[in-house]
Amino acid sequence: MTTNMKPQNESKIQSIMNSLDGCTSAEPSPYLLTRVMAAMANKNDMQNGWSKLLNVITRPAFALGGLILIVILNLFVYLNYNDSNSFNAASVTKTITVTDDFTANVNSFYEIENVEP
Amino acid sequence: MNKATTDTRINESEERHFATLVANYQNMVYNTSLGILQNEQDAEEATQDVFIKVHKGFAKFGEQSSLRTWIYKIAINTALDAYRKNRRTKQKGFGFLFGNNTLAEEPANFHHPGVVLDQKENAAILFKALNKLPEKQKLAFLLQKTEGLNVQEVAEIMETTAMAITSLLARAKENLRTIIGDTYKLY
Repeated sequence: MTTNMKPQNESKIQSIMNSLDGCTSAEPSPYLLTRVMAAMANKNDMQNGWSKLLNVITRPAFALGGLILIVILNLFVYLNYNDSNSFNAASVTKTITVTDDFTANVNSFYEIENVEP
Repeated sequence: MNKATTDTRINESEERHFATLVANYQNMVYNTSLGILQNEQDAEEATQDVFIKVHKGFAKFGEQSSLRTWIYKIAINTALDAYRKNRRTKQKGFGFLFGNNTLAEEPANFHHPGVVLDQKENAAILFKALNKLPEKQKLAFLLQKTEGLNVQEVAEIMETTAMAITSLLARAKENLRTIIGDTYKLY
């Protein structure tokens, strides 16, 4: 590829390739140490008490798990609600029988006072 | 610094030792991060993270390598993580709505503060081309050019042999020439 190149282009590429020669070191902000110390102190505070709990529950995996659980619960409730609404003759008969068997037969005062012999 | 300390809370004497360590290595860490991230603010944040990791991990530093090499490794890993994260964020965006989710936003020209004035434009072209290289080639090239490390030192940091680094650098230079030539239609 380089064989087809014009000499001025070759020198241009060479000049780009050598542009970092003599590059001096860049310096960070003079407050770097202060910022590092502040960040470390902040991290310590974050690891205490409620922040720790907050850290856990705000994790994406935790939030996604919670969301999936809510969706499953909703589906479960929705499907069950639909089942109980559907008409089922057998279950109605069963309910009536159970009601008959277990109804407390409370008499009114009239019946108690006028007991037939 | 007390090597047994894993907590990030430090006492006064440790603070002095840590301040000396930061003063000695801050330029090295910042420069490495700056070369990889090509953004001064991102490089500052990465430098902060590096020193927090250094403090936290000092107890685990086994002295199999020199402190300088160990800090270099942390700096490179931290900067590369930040670089990958930035790229992923740029690629995601809302491009998928318009069907161009594969295109990353073209970064703005980066002007390294340490480059001599008449080479600023050329260096910006070189930094742009460096982003198109495979990570290892980019890293070896940067460590040699901006940090001024020799092949042996680069090999130690990248945990490989000097021969592998020589070959990596040769491929990096060849690829850079091709990328620059193709981009600026010099062939």
